[in-house]
Parts: sequence; structure tokens; C-alpha cells
Amino acid sequence: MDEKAVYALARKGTAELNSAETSLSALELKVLVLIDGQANLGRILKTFHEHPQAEMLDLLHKLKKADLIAEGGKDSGGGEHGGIEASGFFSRPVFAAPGTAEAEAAAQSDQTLELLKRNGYVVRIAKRAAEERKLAKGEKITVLVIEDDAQLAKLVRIFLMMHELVPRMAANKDEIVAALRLAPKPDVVLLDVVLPDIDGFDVLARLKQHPILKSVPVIMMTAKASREAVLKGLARGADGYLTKPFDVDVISQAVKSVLGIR
Amino acid sequence: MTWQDLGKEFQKLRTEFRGSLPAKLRRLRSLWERIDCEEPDADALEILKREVHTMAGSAGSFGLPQVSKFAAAAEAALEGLKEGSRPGVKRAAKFLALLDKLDKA
Repeated sequence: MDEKAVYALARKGTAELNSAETSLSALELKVLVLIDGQANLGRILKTFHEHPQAEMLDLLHKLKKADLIAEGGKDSGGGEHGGIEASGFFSRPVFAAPGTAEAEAAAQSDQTLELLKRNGYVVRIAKRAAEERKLAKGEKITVLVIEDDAQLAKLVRIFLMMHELVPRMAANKDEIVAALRLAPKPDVVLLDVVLPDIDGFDVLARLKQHPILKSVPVIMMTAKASREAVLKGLARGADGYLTKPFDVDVISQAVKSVLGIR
Repeated sequence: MTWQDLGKEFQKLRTEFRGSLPAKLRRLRSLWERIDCEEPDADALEILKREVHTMAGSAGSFGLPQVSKFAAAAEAALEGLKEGSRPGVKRAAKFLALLDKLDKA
């Protein structure tokens, strides 16, 4: 492969990032998000430096063969339980301490991501669950909605109820902890990034490190509409990323997709 | 609550959002005035950034994509402005022009 070759999303790749139902792996998704019509092989390899070069080359070849990316050109688009022990949820450290090798690697990665800032980046990503989930008669899906905009939160709440999903709302740090302590455990979390007293990416990292909650799919829904932000979410384990503003219909599609409900 | 009731509530929320926009825009102007002055208010800048960000993220979901678009541009126009410092003439003109567009959207 030519190191200077520039990669762009093909029409199919753009569609995949907006389908709210993708079966691509996390790494494949991250590569698709990175590719902006200006990304060359060098930048891709640098961004994913923790993966062997041969693996990345194979992956690019696979994406190209599947018509998801093309060389050259401009970007064409853009179980129930008794409650959770959530004390200390926001006090335990989740990121590497400054000065450690992990922190340096993260800083280097962030510098690369800094290059990717673009305004107006729109995606509707939701990973399709590997297995289909059949709901038992009367079984309800609980959706924890973490959103501080009261008007949008109300809109999402009503919309979820219209789709027979059970919304549980939280708008700040204390409400998040309280909502997580309730039984049943949420089936899925819709998470805003910009919250009044906590960063949504921090909440995501804590959820994904929690022994019980780590298996709960998290869909970011945020006006942080840049490749950098989307990559950050996917890198921290988000199962979906919906850039705002969105049509509320996309929420039910994304929720069903990550839960494997047909 | 029946599905029909929920549908009505859904529409009501959309109408309420549209109705709340003029007051939100007045607030954005008032926050801007606290920044574009002799002694810029650092807290006002933080609030202003949050409020345009929220508007950019929500308006489209209430059927107002143009409002989202202009609010996102207004948010971008505030990028790099330091707390406690007065915005330059160019930035002020750009931001106020976007507020005018939001008024008409």
C-alpha cells in the first residue's frame, strides 16, 4: 500500500456510519471515523500505533474490498439485580496518572486526534449486538437517559415511552449515581457528553470499568460533533454515537440495534 | 397514558420549544453584553458557551435544523475566546450577525 495515498469514505462507508445499526468491529469503526478524505496511511498507522502494522494494513484492505473506503478524493459524508453498589462511582480514578507511560501514550494519541477536529461531523453509529435478544412476555427495556437539557430530555422521555421503553432520567452527577443504584439495572444508557458537573466521557469510562455495569451498552448522544469526539467515545468503549441534533426516531433504532432486538 | 396522549404531549413539547426561543435568544444577547464590555464577566462566557451548545444540539430534534446550524456556528465563533477577555471587533460582528440569523430562523 502506498503510504502517501489519501483515503476517503466511499458512499457505502458513509451509509454505514449513519445506519444506526452496524456490525463492524470497534477498530473498523474507528478507522472509518478517522478517514476524512485527508487521512493517509501514515496518519492512520500513527493514530492506531498500538495495533501491529500488518493488522492495520489487512483491515484497510478489507474495508477497501468491502467498498467502505476508497483511495483519493474528498470525504463523501460524513439481568435484573438488587441495585448497584455505586458509592465511589465518581471518586475512583479512571485515567492514567501523569508521568506514567500510559499517560504519555494517551497524550500522544490525543495530539493526533487534535488534528482531526472538524465542525459539522454527523454520524449515527450503533453497533449491532452479536446475538438476537427476544423479549419475554411483559419484559420491558429500561433506558437510562443522561441529559441535562430539560426540554430535550422530556422529548426523549416521551419518545421512549411511545416505543414502550422505560425511561429513567438523570441530568447531573448525583442523579446519575442515584439512577444507577435503582433496580433493575438499565438495559442501555443514552449519554450526553456536556453535563453541568461531569464530563460524559468520564461517565463512559467509569461505566465501562464497573464490574456490573460494563456490559451495559452506552450510546453517546451529543452535539460534540467532531471526528475527535467520536473517536474518543469509541476508544472509551461507547457502543454507539449519535451526533446532535438528531431525529428522535434514530434513538429507538439505535437502542434496538445495540440490544439485538429485531 | 395512551399512545395518542403521548403523541399529543410530543407535539406540545415541540410547540413549547419553538415558543421558548425568543426568550432564549434575549438571554444570549444579554450574556453577550456582559462579555463585550469594559469588564468582561468570565462566568457569563461559560454560560453563553453552554447555552449555544445546548441550542445547537436540541433545536434540530424539535424540527428547527436552521436554528441548530446557526447556534453551532455561534458556538464555533466563541472558540478561543478567553475568560475575562473582551472579544475583538471581528468576533463580535460575527457573533451578533449569527444572533440576528437565529432571530429570523
